[in-house]
Amino acid sequence: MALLRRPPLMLILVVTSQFLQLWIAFGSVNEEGQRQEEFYEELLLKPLPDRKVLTHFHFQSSAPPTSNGRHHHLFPKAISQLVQKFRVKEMELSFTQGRWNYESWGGFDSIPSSNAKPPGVELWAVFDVPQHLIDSLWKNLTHTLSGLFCASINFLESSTAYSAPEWSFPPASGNLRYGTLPREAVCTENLTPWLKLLPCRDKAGISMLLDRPSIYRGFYHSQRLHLTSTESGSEGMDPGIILEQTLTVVLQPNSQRASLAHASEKHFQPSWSLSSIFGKQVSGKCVLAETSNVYLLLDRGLVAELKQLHKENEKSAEKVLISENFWTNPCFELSAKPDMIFIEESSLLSKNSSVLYKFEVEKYSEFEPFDLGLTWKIPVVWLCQQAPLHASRFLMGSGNERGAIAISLKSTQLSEGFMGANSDYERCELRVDVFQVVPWYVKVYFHSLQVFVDQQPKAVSDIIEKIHVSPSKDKVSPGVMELVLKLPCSVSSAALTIEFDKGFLHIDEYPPDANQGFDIPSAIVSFPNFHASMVFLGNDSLNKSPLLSKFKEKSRVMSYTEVLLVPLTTPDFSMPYNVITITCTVFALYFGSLLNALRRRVAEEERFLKDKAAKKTGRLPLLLSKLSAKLRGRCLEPTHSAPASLSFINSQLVLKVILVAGLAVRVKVRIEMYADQVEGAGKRSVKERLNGNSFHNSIPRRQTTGKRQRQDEKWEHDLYHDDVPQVSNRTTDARDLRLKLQRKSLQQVSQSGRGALSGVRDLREKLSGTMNPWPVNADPPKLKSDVTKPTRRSVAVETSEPEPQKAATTAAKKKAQQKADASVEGFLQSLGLEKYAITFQVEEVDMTALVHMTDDDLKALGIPMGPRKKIILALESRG
Amino acid sequence: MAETREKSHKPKPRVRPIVRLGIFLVSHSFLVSVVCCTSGVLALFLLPVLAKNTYISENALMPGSASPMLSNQHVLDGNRLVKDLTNSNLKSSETGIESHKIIAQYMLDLGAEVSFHKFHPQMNQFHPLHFFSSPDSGKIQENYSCSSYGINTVGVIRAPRGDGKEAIVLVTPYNALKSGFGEALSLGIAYSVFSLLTQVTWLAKDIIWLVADSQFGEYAAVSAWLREYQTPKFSSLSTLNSEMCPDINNLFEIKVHSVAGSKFSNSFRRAGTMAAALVLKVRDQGEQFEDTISIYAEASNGQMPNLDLINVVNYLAVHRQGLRVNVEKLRSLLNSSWLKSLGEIFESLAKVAKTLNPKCKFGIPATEYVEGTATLASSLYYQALGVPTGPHGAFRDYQVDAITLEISPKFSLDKVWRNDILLRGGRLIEGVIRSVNNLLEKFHQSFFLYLLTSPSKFVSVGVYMIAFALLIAPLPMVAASLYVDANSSSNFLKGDSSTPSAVTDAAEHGITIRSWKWLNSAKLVFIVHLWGAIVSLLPYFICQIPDCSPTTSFVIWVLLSILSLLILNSVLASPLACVKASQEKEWALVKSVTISSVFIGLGLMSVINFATAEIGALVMVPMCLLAQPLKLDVRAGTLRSCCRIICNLVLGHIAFPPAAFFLLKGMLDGFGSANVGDFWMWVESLWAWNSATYLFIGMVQLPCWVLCVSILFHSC
Repeated sequence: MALLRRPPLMLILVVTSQFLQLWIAFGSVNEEGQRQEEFYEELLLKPLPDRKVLTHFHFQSSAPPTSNGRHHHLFPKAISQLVQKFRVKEMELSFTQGRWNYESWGGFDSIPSSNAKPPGVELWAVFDVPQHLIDSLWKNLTHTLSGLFCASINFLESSTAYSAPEWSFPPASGNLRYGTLPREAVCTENLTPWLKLLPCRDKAGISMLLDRPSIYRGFYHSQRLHLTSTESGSEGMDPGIILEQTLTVVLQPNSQRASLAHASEKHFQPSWSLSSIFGKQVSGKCVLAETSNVYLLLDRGLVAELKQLHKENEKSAEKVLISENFWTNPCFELSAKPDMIFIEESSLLSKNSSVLYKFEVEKYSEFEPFDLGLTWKIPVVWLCQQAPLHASRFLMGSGNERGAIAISLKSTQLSEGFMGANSDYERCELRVDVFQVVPWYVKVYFHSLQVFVDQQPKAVSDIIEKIHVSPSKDKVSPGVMELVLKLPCSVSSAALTIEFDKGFLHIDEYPPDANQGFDIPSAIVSFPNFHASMVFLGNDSLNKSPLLSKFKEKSRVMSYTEVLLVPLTTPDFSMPYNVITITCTVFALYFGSLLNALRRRVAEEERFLKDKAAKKTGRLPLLLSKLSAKLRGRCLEPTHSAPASLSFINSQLVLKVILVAGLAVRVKVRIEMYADQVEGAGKRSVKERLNGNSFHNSIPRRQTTGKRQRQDEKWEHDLYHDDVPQVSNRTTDARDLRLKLQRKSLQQVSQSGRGALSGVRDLREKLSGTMNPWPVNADPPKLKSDVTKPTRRSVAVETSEPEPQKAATTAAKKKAQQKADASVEGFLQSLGLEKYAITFQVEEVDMTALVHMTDDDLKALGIPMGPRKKIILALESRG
Repeated sequence: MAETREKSHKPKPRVRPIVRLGIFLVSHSFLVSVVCCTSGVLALFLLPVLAKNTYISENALMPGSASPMLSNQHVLDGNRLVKDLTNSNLKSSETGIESHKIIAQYMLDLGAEVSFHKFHPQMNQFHPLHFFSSPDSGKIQENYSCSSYGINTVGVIRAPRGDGKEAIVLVTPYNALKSGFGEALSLGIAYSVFSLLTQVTWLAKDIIWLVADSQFGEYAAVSAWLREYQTPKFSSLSTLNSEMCPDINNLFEIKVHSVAGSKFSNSFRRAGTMAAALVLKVRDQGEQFEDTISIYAEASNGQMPNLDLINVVNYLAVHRQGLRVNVEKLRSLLNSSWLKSLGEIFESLAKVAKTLNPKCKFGIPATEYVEGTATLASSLYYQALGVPTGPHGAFRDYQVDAITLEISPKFSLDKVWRNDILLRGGRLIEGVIRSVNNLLEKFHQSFFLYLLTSPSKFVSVGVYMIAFALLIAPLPMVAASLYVDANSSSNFLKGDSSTPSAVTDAAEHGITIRSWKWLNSAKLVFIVHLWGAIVSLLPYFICQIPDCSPTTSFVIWVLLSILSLLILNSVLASPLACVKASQEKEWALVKSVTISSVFIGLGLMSVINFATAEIGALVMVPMCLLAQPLKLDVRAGTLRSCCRIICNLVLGHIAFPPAAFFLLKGMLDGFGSANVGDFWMWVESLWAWNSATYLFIGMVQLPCWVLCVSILFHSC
C-alpha cells in the first residue's frame, strides 16, 4: 500500500518544489516582512601596470536567520549544515596558485589585502563554542571541507599543522584556528565543488566566463570562500549566514599587437576584451541573482596618470574625466557604454581617486552578449598603490645544521600620503604586526631575535612593543610568533632575523619526496594603522552591491610573504637495507663463533685440563713465546730460516687454500643445486637437516656408529613390517616416528623393510632423493664429528686443522662403504655393476627384494647374462 | 701427518681463526705489504678499465624529452645585445658602467626584475681556524675607494605559476673594462635563453641571471654575490660608503620606460633556495676541430656536483646539439708510451678473457685507456689540489650543485658561426634549465663521490676506494710487526743473558718496561707532528710582514721552521739521543709509531678529500715502508740493501713537499722557469682557498718525511 501511495506524493512534492523555485526566483520582489535568501554576482576588472588584467569574481549568497527548519532555496545546503554542525562563526578557505606580485599588482587596495593569499590552501575559522571544544570541532571541520572540496585539507587536522593566533591575525579572538598547506596543488577538482555552491553553477550569468583552461593559464588565481554567520535574534532560530565566494585571477591578455613586437608598440598596454581573455562572453544574468554587474576599475595611479596626459594634450582635463562620454576618451576606448560612472570619494590618504564603471548584465541576452573590451590608444605607465612597507622573507645560512629566517621590510617610498596625515612626523610610529608559524622540525630560538632598523642593530625592546611566542613542541604543535613592531615613520628598511636549528625527523615522518625540503608557511605582515577602503560617491544603488560595500569596509592592509623551502637532512633511504645487511653479517659471524664455542666446550675443557697438567703457563705468554720464537728464528738468521719457514708455511698454506677452495666449490655447487630446486623441496631439505641434527643431538653418546645404526634399522624395520599393531604407536608418538622416517630418508638405506613401506613414503623418498642423491654427500656433517673424536684421541690431543678433516673425510668414506654394502647400489658397486643401479631403482628393487629375486626376474629387468650370474652368485655367497 | 705428530709433543693453545689470521698476516708483513702496494697501484691503473658508463639516475630530469623552443628570434635578440656591448666597449671603456646599464636595460625590456649588486672584492686571507667552517658574511673593511667596487647585474624571472621556493642560477662572468668577444658572446647566449624564459609557461622555478663582474676575478664576484644572498649583513656601512661614489649612483638612473612590468630596484633581489647553477663561458679563440664544450666541476676540497648534472649536460650536448664534450685532462700523459703499452696489455688481457668467457667484456681500446687515464689523472689532481676550477666552486660552499661550461667554437667568431653558436649554446642551456626545472627534489639520486675518466664514464667511490684501501692496508700490519719485532728482539737478548731461574721474574719485569718503550717513540712522533702544526701556522704570521717577496717569505718560512724544530727538540728533550743508549732497535719502534700515525692521517684525509689522500699514499706509503737506517744497509752490503738505499734516497727527495712541487712543476712546464718563490705562491693559493691539502701537507706529510729522514740517518 505504501508503495502505491508514494508516487502521487512524490509528484506533489516535485510540483511544489518547482513552484517554490519559481516563487523564489521572483521572490525578491515580494516584501513579506521576513528577508529572503539573496544571491548577488559581480565581476570586477582592473587593468594592471604590467600588461595584465585582474579579474575578480564576487558571488554572495546569504541566508537570513530562519526558524522554518533547514530548508534553503538558494543557499547551499552543505554550507549551512557545516555552519550549524560545527558552530562556525566565521570561516575562510582559500585555494591559491601562484604568487601575488605586491610590487606591480599593488598591495594597498582592498582586493590584495583581502584576496591575495599564500600559495596552497589557507584555512581559518572562528568557532562559537567554549575553548575546550574548539580543537575537536576544527578537526571535524577540516575533514568535512576536505571531502567537500576534494583537497587534502584533512592534513590540517594534525595538531602540528594548525595554530591558534592570539591577537595578530585580523579577526582576532581566542576561538580562532589557523592552518595552511603550502604544498597543496590547486586544480579544477577544487573549482568544480566551489562552483556547485552557486545557484546557477557556471551555466548562466557571470560565472559562465569561468573557462577552466584560461583560468589555470593565469599568473595567479585564488579561489576563496568566506562565510560569516550572523547571530540569530531569538531562541530556536538558525543563524543567518553570508557566504562570500570570490575568485581572483590575474591574466595576461594575448593581444595581436604584442606579437607584432614593434619597438614603439611594445610600450602600449595590451588591449583586451572579455572574450579575448576568457574565450567566452556573458549572455545575460543568472536569473536567481538579485543583481548582476560588471565593474571596471581604474585605480588611483592610473587615473592620475591619465589626468596628467590630458593636461598635456588638452585644456579641459577635469571635465573629460567625469563627463559621460569618458568611455570614448583619447586615452582608451571601451566597447560597451557604461551604465554608471562612480568616482571615489577623495580620502585623506591620497589626492587621487579611482574611477569605477558599472555595466549591468541584465540588459544583455543570448542574442546580444555582453563583451566588454578595452583598447588603449596611447602608451600609459603607472604604478599601483603599495603597502607602506614591502615585506619579503628569506632563509639565511647554508648547510644541514642551522640557519636563520629573515623578514625584511622595505619602505615603498610612497609615504608622503600616509605620513602627511600624521601631524607629528618625528614622533609618528608605524605599527606592523607580524604573525609567523614555524613547523616543529624547524626549531626556532626565539631569544636570537634580532632587529635592524635602517641597517643599524636595535635593541629588541625598543622596536617590539608586544610579543607573544608559543614555542613548538616536538611532534605536537608548531611554534607561533606574534609580534607588534613600532617603527619610526621615516624608516627606509627594517629586518628581523631569528635563528633556528634543523631538527631530525623520525623515518616515517618524512614525506615521499623528502629530498625536496620542507616548507615554512608564509608570514603575515599587517599594518593595523592603515585601512584599505574605497568609498564611491553615488546613489543608493551602490549600497546594494556587496562588492562595493566590501570595498567600503575598513579592512587592515595585509600582505603575505613568500613560502620558504628549508632543506633538512634527509637520511639515505637505502640505509636501512645496508644496516640490515651489516647487522645480519655481524650476527652471523658472532653467533657462528658462539655456537662453535658452545659445541666444542667439553672437548676444549678436557684439553685445557690436559694442557694445565702438561704445562703451567698461561695461554697468552705461550702464544707470545711461540710467536717470538718464530720471529726470532727468522730475525736472527734471515737468510737461512726465512726460506725454510716460507716453504713450510707454503706447503701448509697451499693445503689450506686448496681445502678452502674445495669447500667453496662444494658450497657453490650446493647453492646452485638448491637454487634449482622447487621451493617445497628446498624447505623440506632444511627441515630434514634440522631434524637430522636434533636427532643426532638427542643421542650424543653414540660411539660405535655402525652397530648402533643397524640396531636402529632393525627396530625400524620391525616397526614397519607389521603395520597393524603399530598404528596406535604411530599416533601416540608421532614425533618419534617422524624422526625415524627422517633418518631413514637421510640415509637412503633400505636394508630389509623398504618394500613394505607405504606409497607415501616412496613419494617422499623420490622428492628427497633429488636433493640428497648420494648418502656420501648428505652425511658428512653428522658423521664427521662422530668419527673425528676417536681419531683425535688416538692420534694426538693436539692436531693441526687439516688433520681432523682429513681423518673425517677418510672416515666418512669408510663409513659410506660400510653402509653402501647394505644398499642395492652399494651391492652393485661392490660387483662393479653400478650402471645397472638405475634399472633396479626404476623397478624399486631394494636389498630385501633383491635377495628374493631369481634369474628370471633379473632377466625380466633386462640385465644381461654375465652380470646376472654375478649378482646371483654374490647373493648366494651373502647367504 | 708426520709433521703434526712431530708437533704434537708441544701442545699449543687453539687460537680463534681471526686472531690466527692476524698473526699470520703480521708475521708475513713484508710479503703482504709488497703484494698490497703493488696491487694498490695496479688497481689505480685499472680504474679507467673499470669505469662505468654514466646514466641519468633521476627520472624527473628527462633531458631532451622536450624539443627546444629557442628560435632564431631569440638568437637575433642575443646578437643585438652582443653588438651593443661590443660597440659600447669601443665607445667608452673608461668605466664599465655603460655596459652594465645596457645589460640592465635589456633585462628590463624583457620584464625581468633587475638589480645591481655592488661588492668589494674580498681578498682571500689565511685564517688558521677557518678550514672547515661554513662561509660567513665576511668582514667589511673600511677604507675602500670607489674604484674598488665591482658591480654584478642580476636579473630575476619569476615563474608565472610557481611558488617561488626554488631558483636556478645562470652565471656569465663579464669584465666590463676589457671584455673579450667571447665574454660578450656568452652574454648573448644567456640573453637569448633569458628572453625565451620570460615567455615560457613551463617554468616552475625562478631563474636568476647573474652577470658577474669579473674585473677582480670570476670567483670573487660570484662568491660576493652568494655571500650577500645567503648570509647578508643587515648592519653594514658599505652601502653608505657606496653612495659617496658618483659613478655607481649613476647606475640607478636607468629610465624605466618599459611597460612590461619590469622592476628595477636598488635593493638586493632574491629568489628561493637554489637548485642548481650553471656558469657559462665562451672562449675567445677557436682552435679546435670541432665545437667543444668543456665541463669544469671540481669545487673546493675536491667536492663534486651531483653526477646527474654533468650527465644532463653531456647528454644534451652530445645527443641534441652535436657538441663535443670535453673534460679536463693532463695533456702530458696523452703521448706517454708507457701508458700506451699498459693500455695494450690490458686490451690483450681483455681479449684473452673474452676468449675464455665470452660474457666478460671489460676491455677498452688502448687509445681510450690512455685518454681515460689522462682524464682520471687530472680529475685526481684537481680534486687533490682542493682549489675550485671555476666560479662554480663558490656555489658548492653553499651546497648548491654547479658546473662551469666553457664553449670553445670551431672557427673564429664571425657572423655566421656566431649565430650558430648562439643557437646551439642557447639550446643547450635551455635544455639543462628545463631538466633542472623538472626536478621535484634537489639533486640526490646520483653520485657525489666519483672520478671522471671521460665525460660519459665515471668511477664511483666503491671502486676507487679499493685502490686506496689496498695501498694503506699494509701500514697497520707493518706497524704491528715492527712493534712485535722490536719487543721480541730485546726480549730475546734478555732471555739469553739471564739465568733460567730468574727467567719468569725478569721476563715479567721486562714485559712491563718494554710495553711502555713505545711511549718514547710516540713522544718523538708527537713532537714532530706538533712541529708540523707550527710550520703550517707560520705563514699566517709571515704574510703579516709587509712588502715581502715570495722568495724572501719562503726563505723566512724555511728558516723559522728549522729554528722551531731545533727549539722543540731541545726544549722537549732529545728523545733520540737518550734512548739510543738503551735500545738498539729504537728506530723500529719509531718507524712503527710513524707508520701508524701516517695511517691515521691518511685515513682521516681520505674522508675529507679522497684524492689528496690517494696521491699522498702513493708517495708516503713506500717511503714509510722502506725507511731503514742507512747504516744498517751499508753494513749489510747486499744487493737488496743497495736497492733499498737507492729507493730510500729517491723517495726521501721526492716526498719532501717543496721538492715534489718543483718536480711536478718541472714535469709540466719545464725546469727553466722554476723559482723558489713559486712554492710560496702555491702554498698561498692553497690556504687562500681553504684547501685541506695544505693541512695535509703541513701536518701529515711533512712530519712523516722528517721522521723518515731521521730514521734513515739513525745511528745504530
